Amino acid sequence: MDAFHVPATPLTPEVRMNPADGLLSMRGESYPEHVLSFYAPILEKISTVLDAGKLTLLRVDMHITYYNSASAKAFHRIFQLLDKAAEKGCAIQLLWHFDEEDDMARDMGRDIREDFPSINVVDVMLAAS
Amino acid sequence: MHIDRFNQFVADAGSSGVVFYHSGPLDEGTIASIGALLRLRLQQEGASGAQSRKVFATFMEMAQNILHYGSPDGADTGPVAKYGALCVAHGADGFEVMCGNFMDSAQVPRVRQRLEAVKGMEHEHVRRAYREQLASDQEDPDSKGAGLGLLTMAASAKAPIEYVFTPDPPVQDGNTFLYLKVII
Repeated sequence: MDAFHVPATPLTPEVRMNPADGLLSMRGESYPEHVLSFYAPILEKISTVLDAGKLTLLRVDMHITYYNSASAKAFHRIFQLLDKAAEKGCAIQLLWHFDEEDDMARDMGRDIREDFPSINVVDVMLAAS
Repeated sequence: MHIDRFNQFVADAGSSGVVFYHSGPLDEGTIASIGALLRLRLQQEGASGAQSRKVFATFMEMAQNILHYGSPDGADTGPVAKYGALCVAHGADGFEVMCGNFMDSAQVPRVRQRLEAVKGMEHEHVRRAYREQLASDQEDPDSKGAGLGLLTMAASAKAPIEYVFTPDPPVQDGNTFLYLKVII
């Protein structure tokens, strides 16, 4: 299956997917000018891996210290893909990292849990930086 | 600019509580640099972590709006850069985050309607609207941020978002200046 790695830039996160290890991770900040053109190929790659239907377990490590609203929309689409895969039998564990002072990210974790019941969302609250 | 006018400019910025000000073309590179500088300035000004995050988030949504909607300033030819002014200042009720940019006059009624709608929302309503927008599959070609940007600003704000169109009513078939102010 296709592993991929997109290095971080000041405005975009590092994205790494390694199906062999059952791992998808996103780390860094997310506020590029053209959010969709950054995330469209990533969505496609994730979709390809999930559609292959070979994964039984995927850990998703989301550690985004700042994301703008357009990025939140892109994340929502990623979660839709994950939720669909979970319904088809791939156990999805989402580690949602947020700073203890970041109310919006904390709320987003709660919203993900409500909107995507098939994803096992684990809050990872980080001490204020 | 005469040196005395510069002197006055600096004094006015100081007495108006200006912490950060940028006016000019904006692109991704500028925004990355401004972002780093703004975080440093907020730290120097003693903003709490939570407040600093909200100021930064509001500022970046404003910058994103300028990139997507800001009409080029005046010039009819040449590369189409986006222009705008962004400011963070100390105010009586907290940090004030402001932006100003030209926009297409034809879009003014739509933007005004959206601003009025967000202004009237209670905090819980803002959160609900934000969630709905996030889940919406609708791709409105005129709204690259699906209204999420304004809702993000409203979610960070202590008071309703203020706005001014200049001139108002707008000049037809031209550009209108839009100012926004969010208190955090």
